[in-house]
Amino acid sequence: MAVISVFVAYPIVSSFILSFQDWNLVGTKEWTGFTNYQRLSKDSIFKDALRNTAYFSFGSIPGKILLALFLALLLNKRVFGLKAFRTIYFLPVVCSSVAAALMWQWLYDTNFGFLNFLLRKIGLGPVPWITSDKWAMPSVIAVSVWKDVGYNMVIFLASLQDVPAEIYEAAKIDGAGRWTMFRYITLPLISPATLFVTIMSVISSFRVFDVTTVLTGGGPGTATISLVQYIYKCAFQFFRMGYASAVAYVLFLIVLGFTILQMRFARRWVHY
Amino acid sequence: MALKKLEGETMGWQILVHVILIVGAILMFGPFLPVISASLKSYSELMLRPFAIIPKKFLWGNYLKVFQEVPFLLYIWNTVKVSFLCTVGVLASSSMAAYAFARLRFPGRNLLFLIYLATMMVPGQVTLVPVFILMRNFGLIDTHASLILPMWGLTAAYGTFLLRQFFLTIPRDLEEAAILDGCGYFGRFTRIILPLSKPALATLGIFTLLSMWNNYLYPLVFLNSPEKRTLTLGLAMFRGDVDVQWNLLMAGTILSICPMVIAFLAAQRYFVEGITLTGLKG
Repeated sequence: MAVISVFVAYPIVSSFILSFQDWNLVGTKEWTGFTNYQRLSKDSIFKDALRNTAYFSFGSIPGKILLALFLALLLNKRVFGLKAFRTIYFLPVVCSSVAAALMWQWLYDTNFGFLNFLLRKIGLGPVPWITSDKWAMPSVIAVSVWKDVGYNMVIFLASLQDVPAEIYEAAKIDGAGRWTMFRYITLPLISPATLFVTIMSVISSFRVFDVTTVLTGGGPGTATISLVQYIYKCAFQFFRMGYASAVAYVLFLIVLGFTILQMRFARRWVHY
Repeated sequence: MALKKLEGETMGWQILVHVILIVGAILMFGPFLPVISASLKSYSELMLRPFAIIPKKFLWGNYLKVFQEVPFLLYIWNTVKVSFLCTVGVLASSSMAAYAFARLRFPGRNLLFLIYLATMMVPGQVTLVPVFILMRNFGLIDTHASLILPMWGLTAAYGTFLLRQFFLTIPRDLEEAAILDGCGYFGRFTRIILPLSKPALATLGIFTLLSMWNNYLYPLVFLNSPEKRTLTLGLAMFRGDVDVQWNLLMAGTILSICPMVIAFLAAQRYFVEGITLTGLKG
């Protein structure tokens, strides 16, 4: 309890206060009111970071959830080699983001990368995966989906295994087809898991840092810089603690807003 | 037995499911293959024939070289130390807090629990700057304690929530029998609740272990000395060298993943069960 108040509660309050101050970690703190926030509204890197984080979230979350659900549905059946499949799909989750980013940096390399080698084999030109504005973010999203889909899959799987088989039996007797059963039995019964997965995915995608930092360094230019990366830069490279806190608070409010919105909206589609 | 169950499904459907699963598995495991292959090649072979999956000569020595070129053993030791201490701390504190929330009655219990849950919503990165300043004031910058302590705070709420859900499913009758035998709170906790909660504890343990093992932002911010680096930081810095030896870097990457793969395989039996029973799903 004490640990939580010192390392979670206190910092929340403290970073709020800090966001109204100017401080370079060495000099004295200076109260500047809303200046940091005003500056943010004109800061083009901040806007890029915001846009990239939104792009990343909307690009990766649907893939992470739908693919995970699809895989979980397939693996919930009696399938030959079930355990092997489950382990393979979970393997990238176990991999650290840094390791994943390093691996993919090698795979994505324009000249020596394996992906472009495969493309050349089928007669297509090399794609500058992580070195062009256009491709960088989709490439980052692909790595992130690859890495996280197994985690969501396991949670869906756990939930699917709780659905009583008798319900399906009864529906079958009533002549329900596959789609009807999925739509009116499976989906409602696993909706709490869907909510959990969605909220967690939203929170984690707004925190993206490792993949963008190691894989692309936020580049090319600012094409893949994320909010957290910008917080890190402001605080520990430019030593503008107050400004970094202001960015952090914008991030916090966005995450909080989305979470509350999802909880609200959830009452309509989640069945407990 | 299995065949009988399969009868409900048509053969074609079964084949389709397997084809999709195999394609998926190739996509998931595929990226590891060129990486493993690269890790076994010599640097010159890697440059000349980057795409041959099977190396001309398997240089298992690359894996040894990783230990010679960079203080890899030290990185592993640092990571093990930090992850282990963090996991033990989270398991101990969240299981005790969860027990209190699940079984004890005290004033303000519900409010406290709500506050606990609220802290789960806060991304650790948001509080990074104040935590950094706090650590600096404690004089803990560039120590491993600066990685462990904040994680206790950040993971404990999640852990408490997860374990509380699980503890609530353990029948009270068991504890009442123990009370009759003269067992105190602590005895009931250690002798009844904990042994019955292995799946949930394993799930929380592996999640905490994973997140610590793979943590990059905290070491990046809190550590300065090269000899304190953790694996993720070490690997990322290794890449920063002017002349990247991709074969060694890939060997190091594979090495860094292996311990977690083993830990996951060992805990897998409890894993799905733990998630099912804790009601983590909702």
